[in-house]
Amino acid sequence: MADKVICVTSGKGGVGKSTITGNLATALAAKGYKVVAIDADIGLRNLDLILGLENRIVYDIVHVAEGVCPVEKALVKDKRTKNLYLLPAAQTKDKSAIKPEDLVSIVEKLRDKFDFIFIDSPAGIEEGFKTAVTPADTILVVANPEMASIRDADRVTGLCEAMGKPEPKLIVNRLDPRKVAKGDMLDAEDVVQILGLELLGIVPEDKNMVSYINRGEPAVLFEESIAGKALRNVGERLLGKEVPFLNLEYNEGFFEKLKKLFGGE
Amino acid sequence: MNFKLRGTNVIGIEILTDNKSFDIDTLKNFILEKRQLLRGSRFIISVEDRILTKEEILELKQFLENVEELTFCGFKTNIKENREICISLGIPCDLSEMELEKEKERAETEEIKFIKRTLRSGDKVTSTGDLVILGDVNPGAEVEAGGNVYVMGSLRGTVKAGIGKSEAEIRALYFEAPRLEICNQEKIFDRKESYINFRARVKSGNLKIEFSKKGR
Ligand SMILES: Nc1ncnc2c1ncn2[C@@H]1O[C@H](COP(=O)(O)OP(=O)(O)OP(=O)(O)O)[C@@H](O)[C@H]1O
Ligand SMILES: [Mg+2]
Repeated sequence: MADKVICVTSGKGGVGKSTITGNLATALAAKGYKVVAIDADIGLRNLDLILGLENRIVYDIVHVAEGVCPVEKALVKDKRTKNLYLLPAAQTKDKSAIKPEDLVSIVEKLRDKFDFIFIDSPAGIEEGFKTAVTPADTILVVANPEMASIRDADRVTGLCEAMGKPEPKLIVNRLDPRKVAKGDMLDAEDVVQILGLELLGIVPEDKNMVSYINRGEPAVLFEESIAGKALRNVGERLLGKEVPFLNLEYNEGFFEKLKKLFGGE
Repeated sequence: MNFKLRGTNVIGIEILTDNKSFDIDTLKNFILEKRQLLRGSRFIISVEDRILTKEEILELKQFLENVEELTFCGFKTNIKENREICISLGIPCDLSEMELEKEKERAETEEIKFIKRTLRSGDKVTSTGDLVILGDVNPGAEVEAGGNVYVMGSLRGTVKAGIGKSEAEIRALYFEAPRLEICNQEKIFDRKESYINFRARVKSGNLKIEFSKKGR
C-alpha cells in the first residue's frame, strides 16, 4: 500500500490545502479505508467546517498534546462518511502550542489504527509548517497556477528536501481552462516545468466549491462536481492506481510531455 | 606630502598618505600635533602606492606604540610587498579593496563550483569563481559568482555573474528570468520573454545577448 502519513502543505495561504485534505480524506474513507484527518493549523481551525463537523468538537489536538485527554477521545467521527475521523485543531491557541515531537507521538499512536493519516498544514514556512511536515512520509504540495504560489511551493519543496523528506508530489489547484486558453493563466504544464515535481492531480476551479464548504459537504461526494471528480482521481493515484488526467481542454502535447518528463506511461 | 584623516566605523581613525615625497618625520609630526584630537582612538596607517622599507615600517610601529593617546592597530595598504613585510614583523596589515579585487580576479579562473541539484526558491549559492548548475535555477533562487555562471537547465531566478570583474558570461539551456547582472551591468527582461540556448556576456564593456531561438 502507498505511504500512510500524508501532509498537505503549500507555503502560500489560501491555495486550497484544507479543501484538498478534507476531500482526499473523504474520498479514501468512502472507498472503505480507515482515515483520520489531522488539522495542524492551530489557531485557524478550518477542516471541521469543510467536513461539517464544527458542532461536534469537544477536545482538540492541543488537549491531546497537553495530556488533558487521550487521542482517541479527541477524534470526531464523521457523520456522513463511515471510517472517517477528524482530529481538530485548537482555535484558542497559537501555532507554537504543538511541537514537532508532539505531533510525531500523536501520529505514532494513530498509525496502527488507520490506513491513512492526513495532516493539514498551516500556511507559511515557520514552526507550524515544520511540525505538520515532520511526521509525514508523503508530502503533497498544493499550488495555484500563479507565480506567487509557485514560488512558495518551490520554497516549501526545498525545505522538505532539507528536512530529509522524500520529494513532494504536486497538486495544481484552481486551474481555469478558459483563462489558460485566453493566456490569462499559467498552464499546469508551466507549473510542472518550474517545480519539476511529480504531478498527482490538476483540480479545476469550481464555482460551487464555496457552497460545498458552506454546507460542510466535501465535493468528492458529488458526482456532478468537476473538482470533486479531479480530487477522487487524486485519491486513486494515492492508492497507486494509474488514472488518466481529466481532459481540461489541454493540447494533446502536454500529456505526451508529462509522460516523457516522468518516464511513465 | 599629504595626509587625510578618516574615521572608519569599525576600526577607528585611519590616516591616508600619498606617495609624493613620503617622509616619516613629517608623518610623525602630524600625528603628534593631532594626538589630543585623536585621543582614545584606535589608529591605522593607510599607505597607498608606495613601497615602505622594513626600517620605515618598524620605525612607524615603534613610534606609534609610544604615543599614549592612541591604540595602534596596524597598517592598511594596496601594495603586496608592504603587507608581506608587516606580516613577517608580526604587524597586522589589511590589503585594501583594490588589491583584494585584483587577487580575486586571479583566483577566479581557478575555482569552479558544481551544484548538482535544482536551486529552489529561497536557495542562494555563491562562488568566488565559476558556477556550474546541473539543474534549474527556479524563481526566487539566487546565484552570485565572481566568474561565469552555467545553468544546465532552466534559469528563472536571479543571477549575478562577474562580480568585481570586467568580463564574464551567463549561459542557460533555457532562460526566462526577469533580470540578470553581469560585471555590474544590469539587463531587464519582459514578463513573457524566453530564450533557448541563452548566452549573455560582457566583453569590452558591452553586454550582449545571444540565443538560438526565442520562446519555448
Ligand atoms: N478548486 C477550487 N475551486 C474553487 N474554489 C476553491 C478551490 N479550492 C479551494 N477553493 C477555495 O479557496 C479558498 C481557500 O481554500 P482553503 O481554505 O482550502 O485554503 P488553505 O490553503 O487551506 O488556506 P489557509 O492557508 O488559510 O489554511 C476557499 O474559499 C475555497 O473554497
Ligand atoms: Mg487551511
